[in-house]
Amino acid sequence: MHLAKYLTPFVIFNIFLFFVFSITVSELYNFYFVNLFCYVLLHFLIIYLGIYYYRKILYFLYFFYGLALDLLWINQIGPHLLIFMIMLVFFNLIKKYMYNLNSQKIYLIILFIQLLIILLELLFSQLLFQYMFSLNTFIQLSIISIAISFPLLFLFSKIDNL
Amino acid sequence: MFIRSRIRSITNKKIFSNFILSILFILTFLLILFNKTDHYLVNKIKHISIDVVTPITKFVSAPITVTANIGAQLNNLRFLRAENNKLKEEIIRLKKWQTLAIKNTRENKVFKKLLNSTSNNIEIVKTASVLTHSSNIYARSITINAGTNFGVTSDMAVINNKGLVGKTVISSSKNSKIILINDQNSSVPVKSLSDRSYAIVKGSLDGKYLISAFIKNDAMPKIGDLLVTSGSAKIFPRDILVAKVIMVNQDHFIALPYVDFDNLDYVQIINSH
Repeated sequence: MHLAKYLTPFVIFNIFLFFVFSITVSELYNFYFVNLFCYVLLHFLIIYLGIYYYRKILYFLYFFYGLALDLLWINQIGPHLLIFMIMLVFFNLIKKYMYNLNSQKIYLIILFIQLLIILLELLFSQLLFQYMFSLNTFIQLSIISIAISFPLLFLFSKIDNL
Repeated sequence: MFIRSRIRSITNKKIFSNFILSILFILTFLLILFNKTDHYLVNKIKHISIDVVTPITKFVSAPITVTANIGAQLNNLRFLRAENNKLKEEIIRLKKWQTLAIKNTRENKVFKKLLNSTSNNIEIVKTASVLTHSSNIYARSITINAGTNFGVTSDMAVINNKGLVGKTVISSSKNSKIILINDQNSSVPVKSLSDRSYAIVKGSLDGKYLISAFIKNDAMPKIGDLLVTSGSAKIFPRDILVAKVIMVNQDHFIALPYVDFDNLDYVQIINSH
């Protein structure tokens, strides 16, 4: 009962985010799809928090996850950190316009931002560190994004109401 | 009066929030810049990431990892009978090779004595177990549980029983990060066993193969040629098995690495000099 007082939706989302991040950065043998799924989920969560739970602590969360993803995945600092910080500024600028949009439009915006940032991350990693852009990977990530976005939004809206 | 103080408070909050955001943005650009210049600070952050973040993420993702491993093992059980038969055939083949190897070793010993030559044995610094594998979307790397405390430093060659695995890129006191040879940014100087062809190979886009990035004098190897380290780079000692050539095109060739990168449990860090 006491615990429930502290388990606000924001805290739940953050626990979930850290769990997803942990799976994303560790490879699972023969379950490559799980890694891709968690990678997409992580981005979705990050965007969702940016849109619905915009607050100062997010600056540090975005910074931490961007940096950690870069270090644990690419072993260099660049694409994720840069994209996450740009995304944060973008949310800061557009948040006042978001209040006027209905949930359907916000859903489409989240999906669009997600596909855009995944594309940008792949492109930035090629520009900065010569990791060739893989169209195959991008298509896989896009399909997963589109497939899971609606059920996720539904699930997240349930968590919002807790 | 109240409205004025309220407006001031909101403005202050906005200024403060913009200030933090600006600081983080500047920090981001500085980190990217320092990373490009291999600054000490970035190396320190990398050490923290493998010493602190990696164990935590490993612990958190342990239930999923264990479940995935059980799933993989159950899947392997289906092919157990076929695999047993394959192994039996391999044992018979290897026994024949063993006889030949013993004969060659004896001959080598005699020749070495006659020539008074020194042997070229590999000095193993440490055998370490693999802590984590990185995901396959970007870099291909692993983290092992040995660092500077066991004499493991950056730029050391890493092998296993099958051949060349990669090289160490960062070493903290307890852990080290190894970039695998099938990473797109790795480059390994190799030669064919016949000494006919010298090249530099790097990982393919999907990480399954090695592709030649440079071929000396355009001397292409043949399909089926074995590639071993040439020893031209100071990191990898000579004659470590790397891959087998499976395709030769006009300007490049493709090779299949000997090491199974999906099933790395233990690796050995060797002294390159």
